[in-house]
Amino acid sequence: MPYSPLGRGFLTGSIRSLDDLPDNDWRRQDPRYQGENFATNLKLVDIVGEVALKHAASNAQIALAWLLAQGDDIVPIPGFKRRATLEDSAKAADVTLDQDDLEKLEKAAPRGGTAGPRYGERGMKMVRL
Amino acid sequence: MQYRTLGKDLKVSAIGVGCMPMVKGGNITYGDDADPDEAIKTIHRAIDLGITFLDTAQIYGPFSNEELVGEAIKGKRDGLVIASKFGFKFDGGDIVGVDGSAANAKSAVEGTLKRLGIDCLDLYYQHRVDPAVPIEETVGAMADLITEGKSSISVYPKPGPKHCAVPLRSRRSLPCKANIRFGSAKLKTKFYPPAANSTSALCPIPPWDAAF
Repeated sequence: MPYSPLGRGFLTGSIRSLDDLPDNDWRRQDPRYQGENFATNLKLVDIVGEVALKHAASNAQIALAWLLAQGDDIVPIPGFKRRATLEDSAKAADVTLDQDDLEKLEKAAPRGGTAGPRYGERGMKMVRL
Repeated sequence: MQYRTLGKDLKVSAIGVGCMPMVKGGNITYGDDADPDEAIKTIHRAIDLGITFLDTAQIYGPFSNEELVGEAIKGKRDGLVIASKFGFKFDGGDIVGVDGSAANAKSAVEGTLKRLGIDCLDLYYQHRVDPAVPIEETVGAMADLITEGKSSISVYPKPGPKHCAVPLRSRRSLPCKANIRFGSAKLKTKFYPPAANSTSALCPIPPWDAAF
C-alpha cells in the first residue's frame, strides 16, 4: 500500500515552483520541494510527462501505472479531495506501460535518486529507517 | 475497476483512496483548503467507480478525518475495506510523540471506531514505530483487538535498526523473516510475528523512495 504515490502531488507536474503553493501548504517544509532539490526532482517529472504524452495519459496515471507494474500485490493509495483528480487516477489501471516506458522511468529515477529526504529531520526520526 | 489481492485473501481495488487531504483546516494541508462536501462526494464517486479501499488515520486532522470518512461511508460500509492507524500521543490536538503502548492501542481504536461509525476496522496500522515500547507489547495488543472483533488485520511499519535492537527478548522468542516486495526489489527484513492466530502485514515506504 504505497502512500504518497504521486510524490505529494509533485509527479503530477502541476507544481512547477514553490510559489504555486499556499503559505500553509505542508510541502513548503518538504525537503524535496526545496531549492536545488526541487529543480533536480522536476527533471524526473518531465520524463514522466514524456511517457504520459506517449500514452495520452496524465502524469498521475503514469506514476500509478508504474507502481502497479511493480507487482500484482501493489495497491497505491493516492490522496484526493476532489472528484476530478480521483476520476483521473482511477483510470491508471487501464494504462499499460511497455518495457521501454518502464526502462525509461527506472533510468530517470533510480531507487534513491530522489533529491532530498522524505521528511524533515523530526519526521525522519520518527520513521527510523 | 481492477482488483488485487493483498496478503492471503484481502481483495481490494487496484487503486485506493487516501483520505488524508480531505479534511478542512487539517494539520496536513496540500494546496487549497479542502471542501468537506466535495470530499464526501469524492468518496461516493470512488465507491460508484468500484473503489473499495479507503485509508484514514487518527492523526489526520487530527481526528476529524475519521469523522469525515465516517459520514461518507454511512450506509455504504458493506464491501469496503477501511484502514486506519494509531501510534501517536496527543495533547489535545497537538501531536507530542509516539505511543505504541497496549493502553494506547486499546483506547485509540475505540475513538477511531466511534468516529468512523463502524464496529470493526479491516486494517489497523501502527502508524510509527515506538522504540520505547517492546514490539511484542504493541503486537500483542493489536492481536487482542482482532480477537475482540475490533480489527481484522494488523499492519506494522518497517522497524529500523534502532528499534530492532530494543526488544532483545522478543527477538529471541519471536524471530522470523518477512519478505516484503517493494518496488522492483525484494526487501528482506527481520520482523516479529504476532500471535499465531492473527493476521499481520508490513507496510512499505512511499514509492518515491523507490524510484521517483
